[in-house]
Amino acid sequence: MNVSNLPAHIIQSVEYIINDLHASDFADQNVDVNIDMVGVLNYTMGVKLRLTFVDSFEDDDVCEWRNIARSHGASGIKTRVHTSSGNIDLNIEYKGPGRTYIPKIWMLRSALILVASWSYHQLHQLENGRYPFPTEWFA
Amino acid sequence: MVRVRKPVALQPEESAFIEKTLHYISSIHGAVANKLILSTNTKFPTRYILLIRGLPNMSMEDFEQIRLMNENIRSIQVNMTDETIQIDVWRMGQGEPKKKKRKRTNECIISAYDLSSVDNRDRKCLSRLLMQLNALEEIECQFDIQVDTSQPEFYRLDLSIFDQIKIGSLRLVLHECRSFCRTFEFDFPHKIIRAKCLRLAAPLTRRYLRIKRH
Repeated sequence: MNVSNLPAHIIQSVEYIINDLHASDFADQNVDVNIDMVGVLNYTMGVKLRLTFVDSFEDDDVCEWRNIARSHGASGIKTRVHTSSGNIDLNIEYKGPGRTYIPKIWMLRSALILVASWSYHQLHQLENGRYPFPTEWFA
Repeated sequence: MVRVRKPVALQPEESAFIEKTLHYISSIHGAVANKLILSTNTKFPTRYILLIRGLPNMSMEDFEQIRLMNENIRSIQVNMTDETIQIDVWRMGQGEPKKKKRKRTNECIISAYDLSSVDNRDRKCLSRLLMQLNALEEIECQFDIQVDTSQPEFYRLDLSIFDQIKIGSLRLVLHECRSFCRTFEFDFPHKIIRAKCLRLAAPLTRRYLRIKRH
């Protein structure tokens, strides 16, 4: 019943990212690392990957994951380390409808500015001496 | 030099709580006592964690019973994918529960569900329940649902949730949707959380109390 809204190019991109993660320096240091896709993110376009059997990782590894993700079109990553279970969750995020949200207040303000401009233009056409264009205000 | 922290020994009351929890779970209908697997993490100085596998079907009431057995429980989390529950408990005289600070708004949820099989009047209710679940801080992945519409009085929703969820969060969702959603059931063997949602058109079934005279 869940309507998956993940486009095909993102699925393809995630496959490339998983392949590159397996071929990364991080994977060389962690030979048993296993990468599973947990699911599709619900707050933006993207997927959640889970890295298991990780021995150790450093800041450089996180930078490497970020670079791999960006090279395949992702907008960013989020990492969460579960020290009790030893798993690392990696949220690969893409730009999508979740990020292009425009607040209603700004849409309302834009509409009001348009209406005011149009009204002033009408007044200018009726009496251009009394209602000059803004360029003529400081002339 | 490598220092390995030794586990901190449990107090007799704490060990008793673990035993009683396992005893309670093994008494639930459908539980197989010798299939329950307990893992403990006692290395933290202020709390200890129990991880239990091999669970039967459990209800919110069961978790409430476990919570009643110990007032120091910090959180209970269920993971349907791994079929586990994780009970995080403060040690005796340590720590105080903190309130959750962050909450995601419903506006950033992009999950969509096909509720075409559901009656028009009930769609808003079910959508609200699903959005409330999606807005939980712990749930980051979209989850799959199956709606059973065969019952005349209620819908049965089978939720396949991949993330680990706190029982406290589910209790809040249940409170938000209390007008139509009665309870959650945790079917660990099938990795499903079941929600029972009333149909708006169905009449309420009344309970009659019969008093017998001896």
